[in-house]
Amino acid sequence: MAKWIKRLYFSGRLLAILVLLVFALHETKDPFQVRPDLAFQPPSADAWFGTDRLGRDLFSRTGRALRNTVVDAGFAALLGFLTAFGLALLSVWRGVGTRYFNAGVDVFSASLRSIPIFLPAMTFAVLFRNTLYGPIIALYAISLTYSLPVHRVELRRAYTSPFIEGTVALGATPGYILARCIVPDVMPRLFRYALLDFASLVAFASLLGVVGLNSPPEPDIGSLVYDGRLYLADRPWLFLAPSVILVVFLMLTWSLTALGREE
Amino acid sequence: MKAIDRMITKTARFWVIGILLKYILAFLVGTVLIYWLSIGLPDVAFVKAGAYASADTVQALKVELHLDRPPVEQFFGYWDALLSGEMRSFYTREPLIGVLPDKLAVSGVLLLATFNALAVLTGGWLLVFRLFRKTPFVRNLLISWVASVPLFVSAILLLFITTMLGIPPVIGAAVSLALFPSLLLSANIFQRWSVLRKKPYSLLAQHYRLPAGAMLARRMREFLPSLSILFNSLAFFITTGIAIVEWLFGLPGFGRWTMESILRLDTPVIFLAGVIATAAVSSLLFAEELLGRHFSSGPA
Repeated sequence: MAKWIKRLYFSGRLLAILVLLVFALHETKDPFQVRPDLAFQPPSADAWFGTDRLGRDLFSRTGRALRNTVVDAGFAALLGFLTAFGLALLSVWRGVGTRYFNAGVDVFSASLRSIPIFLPAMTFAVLFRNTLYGPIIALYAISLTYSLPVHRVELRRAYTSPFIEGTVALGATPGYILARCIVPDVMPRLFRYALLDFASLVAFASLLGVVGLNSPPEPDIGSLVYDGRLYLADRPWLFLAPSVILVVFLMLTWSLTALGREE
Repeated sequence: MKAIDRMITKTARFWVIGILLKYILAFLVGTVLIYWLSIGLPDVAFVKAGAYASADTVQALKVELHLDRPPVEQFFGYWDALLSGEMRSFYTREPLIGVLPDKLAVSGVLLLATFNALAVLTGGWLLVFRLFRKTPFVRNLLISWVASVPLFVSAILLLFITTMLGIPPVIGAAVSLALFPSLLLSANIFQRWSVLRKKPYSLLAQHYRLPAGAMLARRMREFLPSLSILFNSLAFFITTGIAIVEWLFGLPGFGRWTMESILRLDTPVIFLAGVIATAAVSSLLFAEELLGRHFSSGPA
């Protein structure tokens, strides 16, 4: 395929992400305004995604829901990234990462992975139900579980590289090695992984909304999809609009991880 | 016998035992974590007693449910009740050991159907990939779009379709569970197959007209690592996916039971489900690590 078509496609993806962000941040109408006289309006120039059973504008609600879901997942991914990096660094840093400490982190990491992820996530979500940070804590538990082994493998690989041994032999300080050798080496991969983690957390945050563990009255994508399923036969826009937005967002976020390599 | 002797050398025994110990420890720590999480949940005595219950009623319920005991004593009490088969739900008060087989049977049927769907869908994806073998851009686009559909969206769509067509819900549930793992598996097999075809030994074998059976056996051996991918996705889909799919499709299985118990704070069921699911996931992870080590240390 011609190179320019691929480039157009990659630029299109970036543009689509920007469009989605504008969509999430810009509210054309009040997403909470109830208008029973306008209930179940199909998509039109006035209401692009139609209206729900209470006459609320679905376009604004989907945008608001996307923003809520992305903010929750983003915070959780950031916290998970920082904690996993810190723990992994402690376990592999020479002088600190003793054998027993490493074994402890190894067992802790395996324990986290052994627990079926929906159990702690749902328990946290139930525990902090109806709070704004409930979903974030639940998502953070998932993020840490999967990030920790990846960060450990990456940092261990970087610390055992021959060029690090050479740098140590030249008398570099641990701080210098970390800041100038390790971080630049591992960060591109870890950022790519963090983006994947973020996309997965967006999907899981929506799942929490599906089972009713969101923070009402704020809408989220999962609850919009779940509520829309009842009208799939006669008013499909109520299910399809939030579903398509979620799928497009996930697809674009996942594809961004491959962007650098493809180009 | 020689091969077995070679495999079970002193070193090999040590790393297998090491990994086994790690996952036994992980399982035990996991059960403690699950218990610690479950006691953090809101007090079920208040929920069960209702909004207008007096303090005495709540206290009496706490005593009845053994919630007045110290956490460590409660933890060992749960283990004791679990091992003696006397563990009961906070709500129905029926022994969980009597309910468990029915729930596991429903989930077992779903799991079997999922494996069948996995085989059929993997074959289907391989055919599609073969169709687009000359246009990797289109193939990758297809993979990324299908992989981006979350489980609950595909499950709701399949529930709608199966209801419209009068297909048993377990089939729709199995297809929605197998969709993503089959895509992952077939993409991996297709990629490996493409690489294998260009390997020097394949070219040499073609040149010297080696029997097709021998070549196939050699290639199948190289495909085995693909199975390790399944362990990860199955571990995730069996535990998370089954709960969601059973809930959406209204199947009264183990996953739905667990999820509903978390929502209504039924701690004994959460603990029992946690122990069973943690044991299953630990075993899968143990098998995955064992296979991973075996293939990474063996000849390419």
